[in-house]
Amino acid sequence: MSSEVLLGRTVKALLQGGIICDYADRELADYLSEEDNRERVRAFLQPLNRDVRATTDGRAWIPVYASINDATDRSEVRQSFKLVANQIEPLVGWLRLVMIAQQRPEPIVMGDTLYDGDLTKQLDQVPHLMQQLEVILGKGPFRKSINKDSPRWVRDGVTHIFEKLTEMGFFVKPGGTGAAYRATGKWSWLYDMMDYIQSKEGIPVEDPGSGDEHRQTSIF
Amino acid sequence: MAVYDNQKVLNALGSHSKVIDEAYRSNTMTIEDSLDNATAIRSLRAVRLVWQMEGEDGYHLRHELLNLLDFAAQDYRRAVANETIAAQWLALKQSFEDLRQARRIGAFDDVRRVERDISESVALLMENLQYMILSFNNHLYNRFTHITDLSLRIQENERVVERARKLAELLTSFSIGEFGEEAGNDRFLRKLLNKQLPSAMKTYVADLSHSLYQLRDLLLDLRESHRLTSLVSSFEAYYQANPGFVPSVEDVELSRCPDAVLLAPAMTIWAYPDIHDPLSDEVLAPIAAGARDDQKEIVISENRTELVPIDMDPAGHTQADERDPVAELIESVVDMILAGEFKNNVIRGSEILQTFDLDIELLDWLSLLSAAVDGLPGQERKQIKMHFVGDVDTIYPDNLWVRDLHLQWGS
Repeated sequence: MSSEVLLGRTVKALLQGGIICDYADRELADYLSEEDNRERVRAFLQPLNRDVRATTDGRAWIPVYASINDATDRSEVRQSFKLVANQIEPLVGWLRLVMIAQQRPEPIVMGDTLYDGDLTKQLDQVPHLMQQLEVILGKGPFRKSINKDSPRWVRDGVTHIFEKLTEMGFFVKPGGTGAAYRATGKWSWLYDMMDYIQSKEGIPVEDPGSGDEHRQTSIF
Repeated sequence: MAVYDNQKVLNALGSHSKVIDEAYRSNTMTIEDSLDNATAIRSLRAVRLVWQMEGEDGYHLRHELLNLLDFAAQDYRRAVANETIAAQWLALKQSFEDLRQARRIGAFDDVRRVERDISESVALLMENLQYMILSFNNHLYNRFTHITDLSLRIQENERVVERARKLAELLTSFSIGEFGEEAGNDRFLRKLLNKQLPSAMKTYVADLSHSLYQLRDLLLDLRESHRLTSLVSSFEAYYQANPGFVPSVEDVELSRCPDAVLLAPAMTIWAYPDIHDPLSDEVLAPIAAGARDDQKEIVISENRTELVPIDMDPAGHTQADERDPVAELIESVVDMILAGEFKNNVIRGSEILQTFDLDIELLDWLSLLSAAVDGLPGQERKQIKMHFVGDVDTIYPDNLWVRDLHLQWGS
């Protein structure tokens, strides 16, 4: 693919608010990894008051405002922040649920592949994990009415959350359809946001090992 | 008849473990043929765990037994490998010193013995180095996943990095070149010291540097995972302790916040194709031609039961206009009156409805008919006389209970 076409696609993806990484779009991520290409993209975005920056881990590219002198832009930034601020609790709940159910020592990061079938099996028949799933399904973007009498409510709930997270850009489906979900660079962006919120709100740093056993049974 | 010997072998190992271990840890892998060891040697020979070369004094541990001991001692070997290799290097240097001395005094038997020792020592050194580097690669392959806790995993990774760093330092301190000059006339030793050892050392140093780099990289990854886990745990604990907590937006200082906060939302990008641009023709023509086919494709649904057949008119998309029969009749009646077809007659609305038997109430019909006449443009309206027929209300004389509508052409 020609450089001009890649430039156009990259600019378009960024203007559409997309976070670019190896898993969301390998070609565009490769294109942006070259300094010269990045400068071309930035020159294109600058008149529109947009810029492109890397996440702290350097694994994803995010579209940002070049400046926030304009009142409308500032208002939009605050609105976006507010939206994220309200989504963090269910997202944290989900991350912990996946960590506990799959016995992962670390949270989901870009490149991880998760299967809704696997997670369903790991949650099914484990009352406290099912209870946590139910709590998450009552919050923010994952809100969904569930019928606990249905034998499929765990599977439906898990799939619902995966689909929501895919809509939000946290996952892509490698095959287009099916039960596999590949984590994108949006997780890197989320952790950057959480870092900022942690320092801004003075949230104490927790040793992941301390009190873990207790929280595994009483996450909420 | 086959004999099942496992119990005997295990008993021999258990009974003489101390002697075997001494031979293993001394790096000679040989049990000295002495009176103290006589029982052990007899017992171990009976189950074929040791062997003796003709003309030698000691008994060698068998390869199979060495494999078992290597397996059992792998953690220890890893931990002391640097010391082992350093000791082997010193022993090698000492052997060269012995070789020089034996040559000086003309002790040719000793020269041959020391040369043989040097060959074995070099081979052992290379084997140990290879083993060490393989063990580093194993860590890279399994990424310390056998340790569940992330902090412990990081600690182990740090220890392995330290071991690899020390070994790399040790290897760079070796001066291989000086040994080559000591090879003398022995062809095998010359080849070993001038070619094989330098070449192998070069490979080991390169492999070790690569492993060290990757181990450090892995350590960074693990520390990052630990940081993220801590981040998520911190939020989780905070939400637990502060139910309903939502990070505040109002006091966000936008000029000093990180890029992540300044994430720009989607900007709508939309454009119409330029149909007047001849250059676009090539692109637009097939799109336009395929538009109809595209519509057919849209009908195809994953759920076969929901398929809705659509017949496409080859002349283009047409839609049948199902006209209201009441409106159609009203329009016809009005047109006919305006055309003067009933010049001398009075047209009764009730009779028309009766004739055409439409599904509509009389009063509704009359109301629609009168509205149609009233809705005619000024000149045409004047061409039709309209008269309601009915009974005046006894209480409210201004009200008329309509029974019929009479229409008559009258310009």
